[in-house]
Amino acid sequence: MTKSADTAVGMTCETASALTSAEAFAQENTPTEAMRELLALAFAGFRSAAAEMDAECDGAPFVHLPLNVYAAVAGCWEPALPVAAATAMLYLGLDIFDDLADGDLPAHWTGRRPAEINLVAATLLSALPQLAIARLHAPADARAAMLQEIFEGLLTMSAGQQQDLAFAGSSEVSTEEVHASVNRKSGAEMGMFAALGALLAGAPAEQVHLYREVGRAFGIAGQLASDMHDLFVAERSMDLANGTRTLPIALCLDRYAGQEREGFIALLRSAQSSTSAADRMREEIKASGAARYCAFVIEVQCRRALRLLAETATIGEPRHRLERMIASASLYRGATIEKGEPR
Amino acid sequence: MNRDGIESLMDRWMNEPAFRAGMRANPEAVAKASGVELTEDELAALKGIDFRLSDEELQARVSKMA
Repeated sequence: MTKSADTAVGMTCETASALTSAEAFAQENTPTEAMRELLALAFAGFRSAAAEMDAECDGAPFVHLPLNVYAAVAGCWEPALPVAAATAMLYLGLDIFDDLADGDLPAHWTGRRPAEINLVAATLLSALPQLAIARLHAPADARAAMLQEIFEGLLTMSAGQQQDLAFAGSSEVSTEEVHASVNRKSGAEMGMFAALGALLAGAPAEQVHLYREVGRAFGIAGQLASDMHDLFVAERSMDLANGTRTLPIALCLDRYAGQEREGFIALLRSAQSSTSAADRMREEIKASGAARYCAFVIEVQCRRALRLLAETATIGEPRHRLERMIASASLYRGATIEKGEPR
Repeated sequence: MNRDGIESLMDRWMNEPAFRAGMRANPEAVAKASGVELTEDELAALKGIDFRLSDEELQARVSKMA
Protein backbone atom coordinates (compact mmCIF):
# COMPACT_ATOMS: atom_id res chain seq x y z
CA MET A 1 0.00 0.00 0.00
CA THR A 2 1.52 3.33 -1.06
CA LYS A 3 0.71 6.45 0.93
CA SER A 4 -0.62 9.39 -1.02
CA ALA A 5 1.13 12.74 -1.01
CA ASP A 6 -2.19 14.10 0.24
CA THR A 7 -1.37 13.43 3.89
CA ALA A 8 -4.36 15.48 5.11
CA VAL A 9 -6.65 12.88 3.61
CA GLY A 10 -4.31 9.94 4.31
CA MET A 11 -5.40 8.00 1.25
CA THR A 12 -3.21 5.51 -0.63
CA CYS A 13 -1.84 6.69 -3.98
CA GLU A 14 -3.86 3.99 -5.75
CA THR A 15 -7.16 5.03 -4.16
CA ALA A 16 -6.47 8.74 -4.64
CA SER A 17 -5.54 8.15 -8.30
CA ALA A 18 -8.61 5.99 -8.96
CA LEU A 19 -10.96 8.51 -7.37
CA THR A 20 -9.37 11.41 -9.24
CA SER A 21 -9.59 9.49 -12.49
CA ALA A 22 -13.23 8.49 -11.79
CA GLU A 23 -14.26 12.04 -10.97
CA ALA A 24 -12.53 13.43 -14.07
CA PHE A 25 -14.25 10.82 -16.23
CA ALA A 26 -17.63 11.64 -14.68
CA GLN A 27 -17.13 15.38 -15.20
CA GLU A 28 -15.99 14.96 -18.83
CA ASN A 29 -18.93 12.78 -19.78
CA THR A 30 -21.82 14.39 -17.96
CA PRO A 31 -23.69 16.82 -20.22
CA THR A 32 -25.12 19.41 -17.78
CA GLU A 33 -23.51 21.69 -15.19
CA ALA A 34 -26.14 20.89 -12.56
CA MET A 35 -25.50 17.15 -12.83
CA ARG A 36 -21.74 17.71 -12.76
CA GLU A 37 -22.18 19.67 -9.50
CA LEU A 38 -24.11 16.80 -7.93
CA LEU A 39 -21.43 14.30 -8.97
CA ALA A 40 -18.69 16.57 -7.59
CA LEU A 41 -20.56 16.65 -4.29
CA ALA A 42 -20.73 12.85 -4.24
CA PHE A 43 -16.99 12.46 -4.86
CA ALA A 44 -16.02 15.16 -2.35
CA GLY A 45 -18.14 13.56 0.34
CA PHE A 46 -16.77 10.10 -0.42
CA ARG A 47 -13.08 10.88 0.03
CA SER A 48 -13.01 10.62 3.82
CA ALA A 49 -14.90 7.30 3.71
CA ALA A 50 -12.45 6.00 1.11
CA ALA A 51 -9.48 7.02 3.27
CA GLU A 52 -11.08 5.24 6.23
CA MET A 53 -11.44 2.08 4.14
CA ASP A 54 -7.83 2.38 3.02
CA ALA A 55 -6.80 2.29 6.68
CA GLU A 56 -9.24 -0.43 7.81
CA CYS A 57 -8.63 -2.86 4.94
CA ASP A 58 -4.98 -2.22 4.11
CA GLY A 59 -6.17 -0.61 0.86
CA ALA A 60 -9.79 0.23 -0.01
CA PRO A 61 -10.98 -3.02 -1.67
CA PHE A 62 -13.04 -1.35 -4.40
CA VAL A 63 -9.74 0.00 -5.81
CA HIS A 64 -7.04 -2.33 -4.50
CA LEU A 65 -8.83 -5.59 -5.30
CA PRO A 66 -9.02 -5.08 -9.10
CA LEU A 67 -5.57 -3.44 -9.17
CA ASN A 68 -3.84 -6.22 -7.22
CA VAL A 69 -5.59 -8.97 -9.19
CA TYR A 70 -4.52 -7.27 -12.42
CA ALA A 71 -0.97 -6.94 -11.09
CA ALA A 72 -1.00 -10.62 -10.07
CA VAL A 73 -1.70 -11.61 -13.68
CA ALA A 74 0.05 -8.87 -15.64
CA GLY A 75 2.89 -7.82 -13.33
CA CYS A 76 2.00 -4.16 -12.70
CA TRP A 77 -1.14 -2.30 -11.63
CA GLU A 78 -0.95 1.02 -13.47
CA PRO A 79 -2.72 -0.04 -16.71
CA ALA A 80 -5.71 -1.16 -14.62
CA LEU A 81 -6.31 2.29 -13.15
CA PRO A 82 -9.29 2.99 -15.48
CA VAL A 83 -10.90 -0.22 -14.23
CA ALA A 84 -10.32 0.85 -10.62
CA ALA A 85 -11.96 4.17 -11.53
CA ALA A 86 -14.97 2.21 -12.84
CA THR A 87 -15.15 0.03 -9.71
CA ALA A 88 -14.84 3.17 -7.55
CA MET A 89 -17.87 4.63 -9.37
CA LEU A 90 -19.79 1.38 -8.89
CA TYR A 91 -18.93 1.27 -5.20
CA LEU A 92 -19.87 4.92 -4.69
CA GLY A 93 -23.21 4.44 -6.48
CA LEU A 94 -24.01 1.41 -4.31
CA ASP A 95 -22.91 3.25 -1.18
CA ILE A 96 -25.26 6.15 -1.92
CA PHE A 97 -28.18 3.78 -2.60
CA ASP A 98 -27.43 2.02 0.72
CA ASP A 99 -27.39 5.32 2.59
CA LEU A 100 -30.70 6.29 0.98
CA ALA A 101 -32.28 2.94 1.88
CA ASP A 102 -31.00 3.12 5.48
CA GLY A 103 -31.94 6.77 5.97
CA ASP A 104 -28.31 7.38 6.83
CA LEU A 105 -27.22 10.08 4.38
CA PRO A 106 -23.93 11.84 5.19
CA ALA A 107 -23.98 15.56 5.98
CA HIS A 108 -22.71 16.65 2.55
CA TRP A 109 -26.14 15.81 1.08
CA THR A 110 -27.93 18.25 3.39
CA GLY A 111 -30.36 20.40 1.41
CA ARG A 112 -30.47 18.00 -1.54
CA ARG A 113 -33.70 16.20 -2.44
CA PRO A 114 -33.69 12.37 -2.22
CA ALA A 115 -34.72 12.24 -5.89
CA GLU A 116 -31.54 14.14 -6.85
CA ILE A 117 -29.35 11.88 -4.71
CA ASN A 118 -31.08 8.86 -6.22
CA LEU A 119 -30.22 10.18 -9.67
CA VAL A 120 -26.54 10.53 -8.77
CA ALA A 121 -26.45 6.95 -7.48
CA ALA A 122 -28.17 5.61 -10.62
CA THR A 123 -25.75 7.51 -12.87
CA LEU A 124 -22.72 6.20 -10.97
CA LEU A 125 -24.03 2.67 -10.98
CA SER A 126 -25.59 2.17 -14.37
CA ALA A 127 -24.05 4.58 -16.90
CA LEU A 128 -20.57 5.90 -16.12
CA PRO A 129 -18.73 2.64 -15.22
CA GLN A 130 -20.08 0.88 -18.30
CA LEU A 131 -18.99 3.79 -20.48
CA ALA A 132 -15.54 3.70 -18.90
CA ILE A 133 -15.22 -0.02 -19.62
CA ALA A 134 -16.48 0.40 -23.19
CA ARG A 135 -13.74 2.99 -23.82
CA LEU A 136 -10.85 0.96 -22.38
CA HIS A 137 -7.84 0.36 -24.58
CA ALA A 138 -8.40 -3.38 -24.50
CA PRO A 139 -9.47 -6.08 -26.96
CA ALA A 140 -13.18 -5.99 -27.82
CA ASP A 141 -13.81 -9.46 -26.35
CA ALA A 142 -12.19 -8.43 -23.04
CA ARG A 143 -14.38 -5.32 -22.88
CA ALA A 144 -17.49 -7.37 -23.68
CA ALA A 145 -16.61 -9.89 -20.96
CA MET A 146 -16.07 -7.07 -18.45
CA LEU A 147 -19.42 -5.49 -19.27
CA GLN A 148 -21.11 -8.85 -18.90
CA GLU A 149 -19.36 -9.28 -15.53
CA ILE A 150 -20.80 -5.96 -14.37
CA PHE A 151 -24.33 -6.67 -15.58
CA GLU A 152 -24.41 -10.14 -14.03
CA GLY A 153 -22.88 -8.84 -10.81
CA LEU A 154 -25.43 -6.05 -10.51
CA LEU A 155 -28.32 -8.45 -11.17
CA THR A 156 -27.07 -10.77 -8.40
CA MET A 157 -26.59 -7.86 -6.01
CA SER A 158 -30.04 -6.56 -6.80
CA ALA A 159 -31.53 -9.93 -5.81
CA GLY A 160 -29.48 -9.90 -2.59
CA GLN A 161 -30.66 -6.41 -1.74
CA GLN A 162 -34.27 -7.45 -2.34
CA GLN A 163 -33.80 -10.36 0.12
CA ASP A 164 -32.27 -7.98 2.63
CA LEU A 165 -35.26 -5.64 2.33
CA ALA A 166 -37.71 -8.54 2.62
CA PHE A 167 -36.04 -9.68 5.87
CA ALA A 168 -36.32 -6.25 7.48
CA GLY A 169 -38.44 -6.41 10.61
CA SER A 170 -39.04 -10.15 10.19
CA SER A 171 -38.59 -12.70 12.96
CA GLU A 172 -38.51 -15.60 10.49
CA VAL A 173 -34.95 -15.23 9.21
CA SER A 174 -32.38 -18.01 9.51
CA THR A 175 -28.59 -17.77 9.58
CA GLU A 176 -28.54 -19.60 6.22
CA GLU A 177 -30.82 -16.98 4.66
CA VAL A 178 -28.69 -14.14 5.98
CA HIS A 179 -25.59 -15.83 4.63
CA ALA A 180 -27.20 -16.24 1.20
CA SER A 181 -28.20 -12.58 1.14
CA VAL A 182 -24.69 -11.42 2.14
CA ASN A 183 -23.23 -13.69 -0.53
CA ARG A 184 -25.45 -12.13 -3.21
CA LYS A 185 -24.87 -8.55 -2.09
CA SER A 186 -21.32 -8.15 -0.86
CA GLY A 187 -19.90 -11.43 -2.14
CA ALA A 188 -21.02 -10.68 -5.69
CA GLU A 189 -19.76 -7.09 -5.43
CA MET A 190 -16.19 -7.94 -4.41
CA GLY A 191 -16.20 -10.98 -6.70
CA MET A 192 -17.08 -8.70 -9.59
CA PHE A 193 -14.31 -6.21 -8.68
CA ALA A 194 -11.70 -8.99 -8.58
CA ALA A 195 -12.92 -10.59 -11.81
CA LEU A 196 -12.75 -7.25 -13.65
CA GLY A 197 -9.03 -6.98 -12.87
CA ALA A 198 -8.43 -10.54 -14.08
CA LEU A 199 -10.47 -10.03 -17.27
CA LEU A 200 -8.58 -6.88 -18.24
CA ALA A 201 -5.29 -8.72 -17.68
CA GLY A 202 -6.42 -11.43 -20.09
CA ALA A 203 -6.44 -14.24 -17.51
CA PRO A 204 -7.89 -17.58 -18.66
CA ALA A 205 -11.46 -18.38 -17.62
CA GLU A 206 -10.49 -20.70 -14.75
CA GLN A 207 -8.20 -18.01 -13.26
CA VAL A 208 -10.95 -15.39 -13.59
CA HIS A 209 -13.27 -17.76 -11.74
CA LEU A 210 -10.73 -18.30 -8.94
CA TYR A 211 -10.11 -14.57 -8.47
CA ARG A 212 -13.89 -13.93 -8.51
CA GLU A 213 -14.27 -16.50 -5.72
CA VAL A 214 -11.39 -14.95 -3.75
CA GLY A 215 -13.20 -11.62 -4.00
CA ARG A 216 -16.53 -13.22 -3.10
CA ALA A 217 -15.18 -14.86 0.07
CA PHE A 218 -13.45 -11.64 1.10
CA GLY A 219 -16.63 -9.66 0.39
CA ILE A 220 -18.71 -11.95 2.60
CA ALA A 221 -16.13 -11.75 5.41
CA GLY A 222 -15.94 -7.96 5.14
CA GLN A 223 -19.71 -7.51 5.19
CA LEU A 224 -20.12 -9.78 8.21
CA ALA A 225 -17.37 -7.84 10.00
CA SER A 226 -19.08 -4.58 9.11
CA ASP A 227 -22.40 -5.93 10.45
CA MET A 228 -20.67 -6.88 13.70
CA HIS A 229 -19.21 -3.37 13.88
CA ASP A 230 -22.67 -1.86 13.57
CA LEU A 231 -24.04 -4.00 16.37
CA PHE A 232 -21.12 -4.21 18.79
CA VAL A 233 -19.01 -1.10 18.22
CA ALA A 234 -20.85 1.75 16.47
CA GLU A 235 -22.27 4.53 18.62
CA ARG A 236 -25.74 3.81 17.24
CA SER A 237 -26.81 0.64 15.46
CA MET A 238 -28.40 1.60 12.15
CA ASP A 239 -29.23 -2.06 11.52
CA LEU A 240 -31.32 -2.26 14.70
CA ALA A 241 -33.03 1.03 13.85
CA ASN A 242 -33.84 -0.19 10.33
CA GLY A 243 -34.91 -3.69 11.39
CA THR A 244 -32.10 -5.18 9.31
CA ARG A 245 -31.49 -8.84 10.10
CA THR A 246 -27.74 -9.44 10.28
CA LEU A 247 -25.97 -12.67 11.28
CA PRO A 248 -25.77 -12.11 15.07
CA ILE A 249 -29.52 -11.37 15.17
CA ALA A 250 -30.40 -14.35 12.97
CA LEU A 251 -28.21 -16.54 15.17
CA CYS A 252 -30.19 -15.56 18.28
CA LEU A 253 -33.46 -16.11 16.39
CA ASP A 254 -32.23 -19.58 15.38
CA ARG A 255 -31.11 -20.46 18.90
CA TYR A 256 -33.98 -19.20 21.00
CA ALA A 257 -37.33 -20.90 21.46
CA GLY A 258 -40.56 -20.31 23.37
CA GLN A 259 -40.80 -17.35 25.71
CA GLU A 260 -37.13 -16.50 25.36
CA ARG A 261 -37.61 -16.10 21.59
CA GLU A 262 -40.81 -14.09 22.02
CA GLY A 263 -39.05 -11.73 24.42
CA PHE A 264 -36.14 -11.35 22.02
CA ILE A 265 -38.47 -10.54 19.10
CA ALA A 266 -40.41 -8.00 21.18
CA LEU A 267 -37.18 -6.26 22.16
CA LEU A 268 -36.00 -6.30 18.53
CA ARG A 269 -39.19 -4.49 17.51
CA SER A 270 -38.84 -1.92 20.28
CA ALA A 271 -35.19 -1.37 19.30
CA GLN A 272 -36.32 0.13 15.98
CA SER A 273 -37.81 3.18 17.69
CA SER A 274 -36.36 3.26 21.22
CA THR A 275 -32.72 4.02 21.97
CA SER A 276 -32.89 2.40 25.40
CA ALA A 277 -34.42 -0.76 23.90
CA ALA A 278 -31.68 -0.77 21.26
CA ASP A 279 -29.05 -0.53 24.01
CA ARG A 280 -30.65 -3.45 25.87
CA MET A 281 -30.83 -5.44 22.63
CA ARG A 282 -27.13 -4.87 21.94
CA GLU A 283 -26.22 -5.99 25.45
CA GLU A 284 -28.37 -9.11 25.10
CA ILE A 285 -26.78 -10.06 21.77
CA LYS A 286 -23.31 -9.43 23.21
CA ALA A 287 -24.11 -11.66 26.19
CA SER A 288 -25.41 -14.42 23.88
CA GLY A 289 -21.89 -15.20 22.65
CA ALA A 290 -22.96 -14.51 19.05
CA ALA A 291 -19.69 -12.63 18.45
CA ARG A 292 -17.65 -15.83 18.72
CA TYR A 293 -19.77 -17.70 16.19
CA CYS A 294 -19.79 -14.76 13.77
CA ALA A 295 -16.02 -14.40 14.13
CA PHE A 296 -15.69 -18.07 13.19
CA VAL A 297 -17.91 -17.65 10.11
CA ILE A 298 -15.75 -14.67 9.07
CA GLU A 299 -12.61 -16.74 9.64
CA VAL A 300 -13.94 -19.54 7.43
CA GLN A 301 -14.45 -17.05 4.60
CA CYS A 302 -10.96 -15.59 5.12
CA ARG A 303 -9.46 -19.09 5.02
CA ARG A 304 -11.45 -19.83 1.85
CA ALA A 305 -10.18 -16.63 0.23
CA LEU A 306 -6.57 -17.46 1.17
CA ARG A 307 -6.89 -21.05 -0.07
CA LEU A 308 -8.34 -19.93 -3.41
CA LEU A 309 -5.68 -17.24 -3.73
CA ALA A 310 -3.03 -19.93 -3.28
CA GLU A 311 -4.73 -21.93 -6.07
CA THR A 312 -4.27 -18.99 -8.45
CA ALA A 313 -0.50 -19.40 -7.97
CA THR A 314 -0.24 -15.63 -7.44
CA ILE A 315 3.23 -14.72 -6.14
CA GLY A 316 5.20 -11.69 -5.00
CA GLU A 317 3.88 -8.32 -3.88
CA PRO A 318 0.36 -8.65 -5.35
CA ARG A 319 -0.13 -11.85 -3.35
CA HIS A 320 1.13 -10.22 -0.16
CA ARG A 321 -1.16 -7.25 -0.69
CA LEU A 322 -4.19 -9.48 -1.32
CA GLU A 323 -3.33 -11.59 1.73
CA ARG A 324 -3.10 -8.49 3.92
CA MET A 325 -6.45 -7.26 2.60
CA ILE A 326 -8.07 -10.62 3.36
CA ALA A 327 -6.44 -10.74 6.82
CA SER A 328 -7.89 -7.31 7.60
CA ALA A 329 -11.36 -8.91 7.76
CA SER A 330 -10.28 -11.60 10.23
CA LEU A 331 -10.96 -11.01 13.91
CA TYR A 332 -8.13 -13.40 14.66
CA ARG A 333 -5.57 -11.46 12.66
CA GLY A 334 -2.31 -11.23 14.54
CA ALA A 335 -3.31 -14.24 16.61
CA THR A 336 -3.43 -16.58 13.65
CA ILE A 337 -2.87 -15.60 10.02
CA GLU A 338 0.08 -13.31 10.54
CA LYS A 339 1.84 -15.34 13.20
CA GLY A 340 0.85 -18.65 11.66
CA GLU A 341 0.17 -20.56 14.89
CA PRO A 342 -2.56 -20.06 17.48
CA ARG A 343 -1.59 -19.01 20.96
CA MET B 1 -22.48 -24.43 7.44
CA ASN B 2 -23.56 -26.77 10.22
CA ARG B 3 -24.40 -24.18 12.88
CA ASP B 4 -25.29 -26.56 15.75
CA GLY B 5 -22.24 -28.71 15.08
CA ILE B 6 -19.90 -25.73 14.89
CA GLU B 7 -21.30 -24.27 18.10
CA SER B 8 -20.86 -27.55 19.96
CA LEU B 9 -17.24 -27.84 18.73
CA MET B 10 -16.58 -24.27 19.82
CA ASP B 11 -17.99 -24.96 23.29
CA ARG B 12 -15.80 -28.04 23.69
CA TRP B 13 -12.75 -26.14 22.39
CA MET B 14 -13.34 -23.53 25.06
CA ASN B 15 -13.91 -25.93 27.94
CA GLU B 16 -11.92 -29.12 27.28
CA PRO B 17 -8.11 -28.83 27.03
CA ALA B 18 -7.79 -32.42 25.73
CA PHE B 19 -10.29 -31.69 22.98
CA ARG B 20 -8.36 -28.53 22.08
CA ALA B 21 -5.10 -30.45 21.85
CA GLY B 22 -6.74 -33.14 19.73
CA MET B 23 -8.26 -30.56 17.45
CA ARG B 24 -4.88 -28.94 16.89
CA ALA B 25 -3.26 -32.28 16.11
CA ASN B 26 -5.94 -33.80 13.92
CA PRO B 27 -9.03 -31.59 13.54
CA GLU B 28 -10.63 -33.74 10.89
CA ALA B 29 -10.56 -36.88 13.00
CA VAL B 30 -11.69 -35.11 16.17
CA ALA B 31 -14.55 -33.33 14.40
CA LYS B 32 -15.59 -36.59 12.76
CA ALA B 33 -15.49 -38.40 16.12
CA SER B 34 -17.77 -35.65 17.44
CA GLY B 35 -20.21 -36.38 14.62
CA VAL B 36 -19.67 -33.05 12.87
CA GLU B 37 -18.98 -32.87 9.14
CA LEU B 38 -16.77 -29.91 8.29
CA THR B 39 -15.61 -28.37 5.02
CA GLU B 40 -11.91 -27.89 4.26
CA ASP B 41 -12.14 -24.19 5.16
CA GLU B 42 -14.04 -24.83 8.38
CA LEU B 43 -11.36 -27.31 9.42
CA ALA B 44 -8.63 -24.79 8.62
CA ALA B 45 -10.41 -22.15 10.68
CA LEU B 46 -10.98 -24.52 13.61
CA LYS B 47 -7.37 -25.64 13.59
CA GLY B 48 -5.85 -22.23 13.33
CA ILE B 49 -7.78 -19.91 15.62
CA ASP B 50 -7.95 -19.41 19.34
CA PHE B 51 -11.48 -19.44 20.71
CA ARG B 52 -10.21 -18.28 24.08
CA LEU B 53 -10.29 -14.70 22.85
CA SER B 54 -13.14 -13.22 24.87
CA ASP B 55 -16.22 -11.68 23.28
CA GLU B 56 -14.94 -8.28 24.39
CA GLU B 57 -11.57 -8.89 22.71
CA LEU B 58 -13.27 -10.04 19.52
CA GLN B 59 -15.63 -7.08 19.46
CA ALA B 60 -12.68 -4.72 19.90
CA ARG B 61 -11.08 -6.23 16.79
CA VAL B 62 -14.07 -5.64 14.50
CA SER B 63 -13.45 -3.23 11.65
CA LYS B 64 -16.00 -1.20 9.71
CA MET B 65 -15.06 -2.74 6.39
CA ALA B 66 -17.97 -1.89 4.12
